[in-house]
Amino acid sequence: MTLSLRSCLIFALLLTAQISAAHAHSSEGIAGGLASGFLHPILGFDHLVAMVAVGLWGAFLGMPAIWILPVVFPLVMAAGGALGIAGVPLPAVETWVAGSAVALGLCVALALRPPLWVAAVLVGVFAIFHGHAHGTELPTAANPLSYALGFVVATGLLHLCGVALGMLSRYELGTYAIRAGGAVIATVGLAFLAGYA
Amino acid sequence: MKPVVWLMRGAIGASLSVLPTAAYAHSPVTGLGTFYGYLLHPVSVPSHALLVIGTALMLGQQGREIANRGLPVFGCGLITALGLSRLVPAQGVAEHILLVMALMIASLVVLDRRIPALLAMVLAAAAGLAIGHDSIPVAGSDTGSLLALAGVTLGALYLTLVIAGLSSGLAKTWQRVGIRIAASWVAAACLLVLSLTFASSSKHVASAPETSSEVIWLC
Repeated sequence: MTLSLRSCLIFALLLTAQISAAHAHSSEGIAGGLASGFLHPILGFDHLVAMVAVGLWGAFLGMPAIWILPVVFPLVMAAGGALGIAGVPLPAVETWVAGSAVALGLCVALALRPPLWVAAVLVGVFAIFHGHAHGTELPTAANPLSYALGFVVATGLLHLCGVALGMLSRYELGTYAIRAGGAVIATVGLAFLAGYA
Repeated sequence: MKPVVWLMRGAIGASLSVLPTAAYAHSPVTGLGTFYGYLLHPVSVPSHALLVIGTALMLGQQGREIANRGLPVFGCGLITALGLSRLVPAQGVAEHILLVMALMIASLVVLDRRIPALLAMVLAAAAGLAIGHDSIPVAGSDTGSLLALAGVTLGALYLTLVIAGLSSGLAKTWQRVGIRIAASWVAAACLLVLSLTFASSSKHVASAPETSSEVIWLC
């Protein structure tokens, strides 16, 4: 029993040492490598809900939007990122990012089904602002390529999460759940716009 | 026991005792050893990984027949570049050239159009040559260099084979869209970093390392 307790203590000490090492490593800067790039859209809650909303809305719009949006969005976002890197100023980027959560959340909540080109243009405009926000962080990254790859992949996976949740729209109850999710996303976006988050 | 068996055991023991020493001297990934370090080289250098993934997706998307022909062509390009490096000293390939190639190839995959077989072969050969040219091991012992060359060749070929093989077998609509989504991620990452490279060079700011081999991509 004593031995077991000692083993547990040693194990706990080792774990503590591991945690300390991890913190020391990440203190090099949030804009580091693949992991920090990957976490950027996930830790930014306004980005996160907007990306999930894109996937949800794509699922609502059905074929081919459900598959076109996740293909096109990263490329348009990269174009927005290029603008940010080049130092081309865009007005009120953070407001647009929060606004995108409100707009896309409302589109899901109201189950809007505009023509595909309207949806594509709307999502494309928001993608440019999201990309711009990420792009301005890129020059400070310790390794820009891995950082860029990390946040592009994370953004794409968030879309796919939205698409997967959106598949529930096949069921009547699922449709209500998704529309309620859209309302929550819009509310979160409003909170960011109002400065509560 | 037969002398041959003793001889074999002695050779294996000697190899095992010598390998780690050579390995740590010039491994791109600290602590892995030369062979395993260079085996992971195509994955641990982001621009190589993007180019390999893009090329493999392109070959797979074009179908089994082109993938079957493209893989040996890619391998020939890779081995040729690595072999030439033993004869002619080379400096490696600038990262932005690898990224431009990856962007072009990934964009073709995103468009999902049937391309001429010759173009697919040329792109595969060019990708192999570029990766091989940029994977030249740091000068060391002959054994270490040969292990490094073997590691890079196996790593790049295996990664390409697996991705191309998997993607060539995907026939359903959503599976083919999955290939395009993966390619769009590759293209987007390349586009972003190329923008940064050109923005930095135009502003005369000290930018990314000259060759992609110097890059380590995890935090």
